[in-house]
Amino acid sequence: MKFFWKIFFAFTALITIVFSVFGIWLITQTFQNSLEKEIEKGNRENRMFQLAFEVNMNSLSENYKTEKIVSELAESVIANLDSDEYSYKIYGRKQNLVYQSSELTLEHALMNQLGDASCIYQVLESEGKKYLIFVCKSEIGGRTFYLESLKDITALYMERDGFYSQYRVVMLALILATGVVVFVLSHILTRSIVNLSNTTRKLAGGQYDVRTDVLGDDEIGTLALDFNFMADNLTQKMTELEEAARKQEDFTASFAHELKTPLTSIIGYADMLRTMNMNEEETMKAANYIYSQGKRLESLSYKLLELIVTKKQDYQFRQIPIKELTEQVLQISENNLQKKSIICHSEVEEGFVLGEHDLLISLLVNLIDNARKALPENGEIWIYGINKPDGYELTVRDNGCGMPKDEIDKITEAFYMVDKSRSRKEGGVGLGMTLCSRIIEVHHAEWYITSKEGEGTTIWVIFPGQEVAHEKENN
Amino acid sequence: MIKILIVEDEEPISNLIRMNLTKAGYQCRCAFDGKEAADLMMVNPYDLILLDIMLPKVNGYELLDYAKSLDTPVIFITAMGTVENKVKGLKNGADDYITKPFEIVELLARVETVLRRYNKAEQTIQILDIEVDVPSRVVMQNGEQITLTLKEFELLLLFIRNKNIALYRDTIYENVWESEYMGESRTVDLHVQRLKKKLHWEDKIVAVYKVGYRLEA
Repeated sequence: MKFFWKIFFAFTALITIVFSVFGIWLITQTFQNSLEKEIEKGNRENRMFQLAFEVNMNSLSENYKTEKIVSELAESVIANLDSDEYSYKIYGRKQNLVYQSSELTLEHALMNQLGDASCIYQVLESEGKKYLIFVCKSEIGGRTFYLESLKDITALYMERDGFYSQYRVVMLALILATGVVVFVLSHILTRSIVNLSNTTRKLAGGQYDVRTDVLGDDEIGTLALDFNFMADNLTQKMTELEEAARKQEDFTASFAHELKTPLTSIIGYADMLRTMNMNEEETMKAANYIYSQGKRLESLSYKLLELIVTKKQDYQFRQIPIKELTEQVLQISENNLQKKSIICHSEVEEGFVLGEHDLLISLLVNLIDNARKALPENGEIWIYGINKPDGYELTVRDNGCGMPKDEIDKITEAFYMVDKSRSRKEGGVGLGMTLCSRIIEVHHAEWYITSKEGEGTTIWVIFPGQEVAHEKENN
Repeated sequence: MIKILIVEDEEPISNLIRMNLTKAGYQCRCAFDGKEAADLMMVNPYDLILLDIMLPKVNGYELLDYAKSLDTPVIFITAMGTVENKVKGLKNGADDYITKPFEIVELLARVETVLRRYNKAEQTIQILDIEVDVPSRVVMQNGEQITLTLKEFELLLLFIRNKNIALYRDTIYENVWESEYMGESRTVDLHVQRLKKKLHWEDKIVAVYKVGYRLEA
């Protein structure tokens, strides 16, 4: 059963029960009150009748107390009482009828039940009518009389039944009215739930951009808010995962390409060498290609290895003196730089960076190597190292060919090369900047790149100060 | 002479293809990026285009569309050997594909097949003292018809197409019998012996020590 109908039926049932119980209680209470008043009144009337009868009987001398005189006396007493609502009867000691004011006679055993009580009553039913009957006993001069007064109270019961039937109509109208109200109310209450449920179904069905409306700030409103929050987070996570999967796929595809390209040449030229009669020039050419493409594979495997190493290892960071490190790197790069007659200026302040020695060497070598690849013969490279309040800033600048602005974001993607053919000639495999980006990440450092076509590229690397580095390391 | 355009940005591979196709008797032209290829296609008609998919400047698929609009057959060369990639290339109208790395024999065979499909390959081949009519599978020697079995004919074609190239036994087996070579060299040797005998080419098809055979022409 739907929650909507549950609310509807629960409320309707509750209201019906409450009103019925209350109504029945009210009517019954009213009726009881009237009945009690009637009984009190009847009692009083009976008392009066007894009193008047006894007074008159006592004033009568003993000799006149015959049945006929008693009967006449009773008649005059009743006439004096002036209450025609009641009919009176007088019985003798043996319950023999002495006098009756009307013919109406009802069977009852009150006279036997009387005992020592002065007056008792009973409600009797006869021929569809209700009667209230009172009996009391009078002892007058050794004689016993039973005095009976009777009243028709059918009207009282009729009135109650009238109330009941009226109340039934009122109840029905009431239930209908509240039914409508409850229907509307439960619709309003469940609307946000239905809304939420529909949205959830849509989300489950793959529409990840749907959000539910937040109606009000009650529990359901909060739930809707939480739901939206959850959906946002989920979508974001999913986008991230998709992005990661896409990157992984791109990496695999690029990797396959980078691996198969040199392999194609190596296999192809080797196949030619073993199957064909080639002249010396052709043989030389083929052998050269096999050598250079083999070298390319070698550098690809080295770079990949470096990349894998940066991903896996848990590093022990130490204080690395940057000036000494830079000098070391320049020694490593010297040979390659001299081949192109590149001049390298270095102005590095004494300072320390919390990091891993080999990774930092690799970072600097790659940055300088990238600058070298972008430079023509006789180009220049500047290396600056400055102590900053919040860390150490290392800058590598060249006056080489630079790159367009929209390429800057892509250069850290694996196997991405701004100028493929030039990079290839310089022996690049497209992993240098990916590696740098990894190393910078490991060191919790930041980097910025600016570049202008034809003017050169500048890369700033900002290493965090000791406290910051420690803090990030612990996180 | 049949003109082939090689579109490949990797210079070593481009040269590799060019050297082999030239040796096989085709006239080749190399383009190193998509734009250069499109420019060349606009000026000269080519009989076949060998197209790398990952190209600088103009994407290989776009170039494929352009080639199709000129009604030029295209074989695409791809480093990505996934089914998805092959299907995409073929659906876009390529006639065949070659996955890197490839063998010379395979390259020549695929080029030959596509050219034949477009009736661009020579229908009759004249070599040494024989004349081969490829579509009707008739071999004539000095005005006499030589009866060859199906496998012998295919073997002959393989030798003719790869003349002066030493063919390894496994290469021969894989190309003629079209299944993987399991080391049973006798099948290849027997067929080669019979072919030599039927054509009286005992001194033309020579055994290469530890390798296989070579047709010297």
